[in-house]
Amino acid sequence: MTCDEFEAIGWDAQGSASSTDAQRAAAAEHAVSCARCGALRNSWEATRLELRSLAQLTTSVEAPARVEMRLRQQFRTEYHTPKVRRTAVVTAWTLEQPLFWSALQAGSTGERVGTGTSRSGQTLAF
Amino acid sequence: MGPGRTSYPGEMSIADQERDDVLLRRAAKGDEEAFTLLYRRHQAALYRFALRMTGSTWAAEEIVQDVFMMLMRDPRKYDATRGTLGGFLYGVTRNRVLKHLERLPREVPLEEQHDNGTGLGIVLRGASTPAMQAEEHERVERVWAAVLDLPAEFREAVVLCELEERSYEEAAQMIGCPIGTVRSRLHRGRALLMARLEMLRGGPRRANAAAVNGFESKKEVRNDLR
Repeated sequence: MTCDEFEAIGWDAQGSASSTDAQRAAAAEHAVSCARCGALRNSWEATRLELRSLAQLTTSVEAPARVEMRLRQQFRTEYHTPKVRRTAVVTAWTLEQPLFWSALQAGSTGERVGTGTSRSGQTLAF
Repeated sequence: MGPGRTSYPGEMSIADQERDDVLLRRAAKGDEEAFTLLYRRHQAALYRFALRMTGSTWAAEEIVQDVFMMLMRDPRKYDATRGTLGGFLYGVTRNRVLKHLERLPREVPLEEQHDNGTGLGIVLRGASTPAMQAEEHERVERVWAAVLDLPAEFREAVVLCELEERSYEEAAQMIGCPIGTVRSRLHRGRALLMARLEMLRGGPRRANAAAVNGFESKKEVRNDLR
């Protein structure tokens, strides 16, 4: 492996999943024989270690609890408020309808008539 | 394949094993518990990715909230035939992150963002003495500053493959590009990172050559995308 090749693919060959075993071996051999490329590889190894410690530190981070609270609050607003509002609108509209009132009136009159009939029926029976 | 699910110790109930699309259907009908379960399943991975990409807990929080707000308001945007919910949410998060980075001024000093633990709101637990803590703090700040200094496409490759330890195949699928592109972006990202860290460490500038090669080849990356 030449210095140019090492610079292009060799210095991160150890950590690279795409490198073949032959490439890794050639890179390792070159890094031992060339001080300049060896220093480059050492620099990458130091960088990799620092990346590892950053990765470890951020592995267990999560969104703060307030995000869940906000979302749940919003969920309730999105899904439950319209349902309550819809029920209120339908009720208000129904109460405004003359047909509703006349039906209600007819219903109560019918009940009264029915009761009377029943009473008179009872009287007749006696 | 989507980002890995966050596991919560001692929290493996039947509900946790319920499929995402079933939960989403329930959530779309107003089931708050199903929505919460989906959120808890995916939030950590999405938040971590957004945090590592933006370097700001505030931005990561906003992005995650925005993503789940979208899911709540328009669950039909997710099409189960096109992939997992995790993958879909990752894609939306990624778009939000890139938009955020486009809007952001180029240089953001880390120290200005947070004041607990590191500049990124992370409390260092491993270091035992104040001196060790300070040293570790400095190391983490330095490497994160270097990661955040990378152009977005290289940063994404480094975050996915180095920090999240995803395979090239996974990263390619998540980014939506060929594996070769991920490989070249990662190589150049590593080179730039190394050069930047060498500068920050005040050491020899040996790494710069590889990094410069990376910069020169950036046009090739853009051509790969076309």
